[in-house]
Amino acid sequence: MDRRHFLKSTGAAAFLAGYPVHGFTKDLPPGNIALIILEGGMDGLTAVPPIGDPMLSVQRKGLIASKPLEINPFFALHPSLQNIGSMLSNNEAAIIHASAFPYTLRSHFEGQNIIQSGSLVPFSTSTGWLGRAMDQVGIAGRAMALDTPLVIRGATEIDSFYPANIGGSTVPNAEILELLSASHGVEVGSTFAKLLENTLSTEKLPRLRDPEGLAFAAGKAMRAPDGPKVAVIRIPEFDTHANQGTDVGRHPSLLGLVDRVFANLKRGLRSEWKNTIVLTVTEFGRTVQENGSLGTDHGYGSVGLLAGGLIKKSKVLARWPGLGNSELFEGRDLYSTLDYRSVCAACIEAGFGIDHDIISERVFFEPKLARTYDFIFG
Amino acid sequence: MISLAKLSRKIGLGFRPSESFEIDPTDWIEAQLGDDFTNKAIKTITSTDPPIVDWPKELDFGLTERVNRLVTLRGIKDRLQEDKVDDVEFIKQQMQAEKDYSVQRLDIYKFAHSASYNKNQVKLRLAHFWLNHFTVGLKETTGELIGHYFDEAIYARLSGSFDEMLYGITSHPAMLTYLDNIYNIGENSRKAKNCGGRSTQGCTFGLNDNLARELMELHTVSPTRQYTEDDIHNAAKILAGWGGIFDKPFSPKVSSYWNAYVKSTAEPGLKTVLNFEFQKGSKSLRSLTDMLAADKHTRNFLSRKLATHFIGENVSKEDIAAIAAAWEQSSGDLPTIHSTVLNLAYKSPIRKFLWPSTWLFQAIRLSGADLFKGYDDLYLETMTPALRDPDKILSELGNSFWSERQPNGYSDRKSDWVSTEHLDRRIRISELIFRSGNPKLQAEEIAEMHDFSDQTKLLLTKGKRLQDKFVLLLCSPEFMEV
Repeated sequence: MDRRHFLKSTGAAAFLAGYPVHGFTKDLPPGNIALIILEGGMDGLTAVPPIGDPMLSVQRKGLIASKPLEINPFFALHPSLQNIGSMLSNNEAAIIHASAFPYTLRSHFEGQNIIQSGSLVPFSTSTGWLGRAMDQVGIAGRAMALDTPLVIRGATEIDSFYPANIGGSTVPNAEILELLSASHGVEVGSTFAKLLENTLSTEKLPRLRDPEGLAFAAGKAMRAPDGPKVAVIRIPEFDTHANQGTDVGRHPSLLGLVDRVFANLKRGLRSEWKNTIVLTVTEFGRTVQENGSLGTDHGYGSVGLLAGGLIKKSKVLARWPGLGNSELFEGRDLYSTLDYRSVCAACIEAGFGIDHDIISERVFFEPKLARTYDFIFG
Repeated sequence: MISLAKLSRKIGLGFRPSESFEIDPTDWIEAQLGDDFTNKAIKTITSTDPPIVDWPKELDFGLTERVNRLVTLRGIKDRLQEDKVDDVEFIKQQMQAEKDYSVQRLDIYKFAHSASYNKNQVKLRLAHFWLNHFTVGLKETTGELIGHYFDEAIYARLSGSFDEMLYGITSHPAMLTYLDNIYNIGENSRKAKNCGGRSTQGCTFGLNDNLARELMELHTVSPTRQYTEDDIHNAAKILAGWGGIFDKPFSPKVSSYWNAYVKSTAEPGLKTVLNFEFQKGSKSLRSLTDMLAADKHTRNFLSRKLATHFIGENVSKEDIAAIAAAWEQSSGDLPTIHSTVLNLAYKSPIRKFLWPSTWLFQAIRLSGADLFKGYDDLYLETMTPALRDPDKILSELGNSFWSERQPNGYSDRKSDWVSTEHLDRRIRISELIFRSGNPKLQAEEIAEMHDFSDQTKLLLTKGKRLQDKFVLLLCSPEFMEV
């Protein structure tokens, strides 16, 4: 990687959701949830290397960063994760290792569908787990980006935010929007109506489109008293099959970006940070061993990065499966010893104050989902 | 049955004002699947009413020319890295080098001009479908190769069989680069032996299964085939050796940059995929793609995908089955399959929500606008022309074919294209076409010529200005969904 290589941020997007429904009388949930989707499969062993595992240097000699930030004698952070490191020292972050959604077939597209829908059968539902959680607390659809990610689709309509960059063009005319809204069927018509509502709104958000800018804008929007309670930020390109890099390169740059997204959410949220939980999800981890092209292929277990004021004491949670050949899933991948849906459920419980059993049944359709709230937020 | 005007929007890109469409729809479909078409373009938008001309031959680039230019461009960029010039100078020189040697921008213009001006609108729609099915996004050098991939691996193969196209796209350097096969090197290859059997920073080898996996999951049989990791691993072994020269620095020399097989990086020995055995050597890739092309899961998966794209999301099971039957009976003959799909689309009452890119080209064609800059204007940067770059406009619509994106390509589900921001873009771009594209027809004339309903015509009467009517037509339900 050279000094003039800058990571392109095309494809990144932020979405805000969970605005109070007009006329809905129920109290707002106590906290905010920000979800960062790491598309392509993040290499958890690079982000949070288990430096205390003697097999690490045996299995992936070419993939270890030279100056990891030590968390404890067993785990360290990749040096690109400076801000998350500070959050860990401030008792406002948690690391969940050797965890994944229970999906082992290694397809990006099935995996991405599962981590967003929260259902273990890919392409079987048209709503997402966060959307269903929002339905439970009666906060709804006003969201944001060029499209609307499945994870926040629920029973109610969703709005998007991804400012146009067409010089000379203007905000759509209200009369035209009204006519279009009336001429279309429900799906498109209500979206035109939402667009009309937006153009009349006084809310001013920075017109930025890179992930860091979107994170700041999202935090700022969530800070407002009637602002959204949910933000989703998507960071693509984690599919590092070749030349993933150790100290510098593609994967380290992406981790730096994730780190700054966390920091900018905090910066934008200001005092609301104390009521917020930020978490990452990714469709799978990557192979333990390096492939022939200085990269890694699709794997299973990965790592979850969590931060926010709702965490009272920093911690690293992992039932460590080991990195020896016989300890790997199908002889190649880090095992997942914790169903990551449990982590998502704990974050919903913390953010929205919903009972775990309700989350299990109505959000994840999994009555026996383990409760991890006390471990993460206790 | 729908009118030809509507049919041309459902399965094509719509008629320009100068085209006559007094022909039986089924005859029209067959004529569209024929071969006698040329690529059209305009030279410059600095004159009003630019004539439609042939795309210049000297702006078509073969693979060897592209590789030579890439090598030159890379050499200049490497030298610039070493020179201690300041950032402003660096960017200036890099831009100049790209202007001199890169063909990506020209390719995008060629793509957009042919979609705006060509008469082969149905074949172009089919080509866009297959370009998306076999997605190649921007990565490393692919930007310089996608134009060739579209013309030669996709469009030129629409008249042959599916297995020909599949082999062509799999062995094309754009795909081999995009899905990392250029780094896929057999663990028992000659190169591995030369590295002393250990992969190190200076001497790397080993399998990379990215292309093998997507070849099975996305391009052919799909997960319903229930293949195993072993199948993928063995397919990766067959693919080892393909495209290795596109890694730095384009050596050793091969006789052709397409089908570039480097024996020294290939994996020797027998491979087994889905219980079929494959011998060592370069012929095994063709055997693999032929086996996958002939699998019933491939034709079922692709029949559904074609039906969804050209008929609509709610297409009937019977229509999908009819396409799969035509596929089976013709052994994957694409003209037969396409003809079946298009004739079903003609008969089906199901509606199709169009991609934003299709919508854009139709808006340009039906109104007779000249939105994109001419091939002589690429670096014209005065205020209005700067907005008239096809890549910029398609990117704003979230539907550019020269973008960084995932290999599953663009969605065919309406819900993925309906959001406030998507609709905001439709309105803004409708206005842009009206203001800058010099449309030959006004909204009400378009509605009359192209068989729009009374309901849409009534909607147009409510617009106060000509621009409002134009926006209302382009953003009406009937224009977005046919």
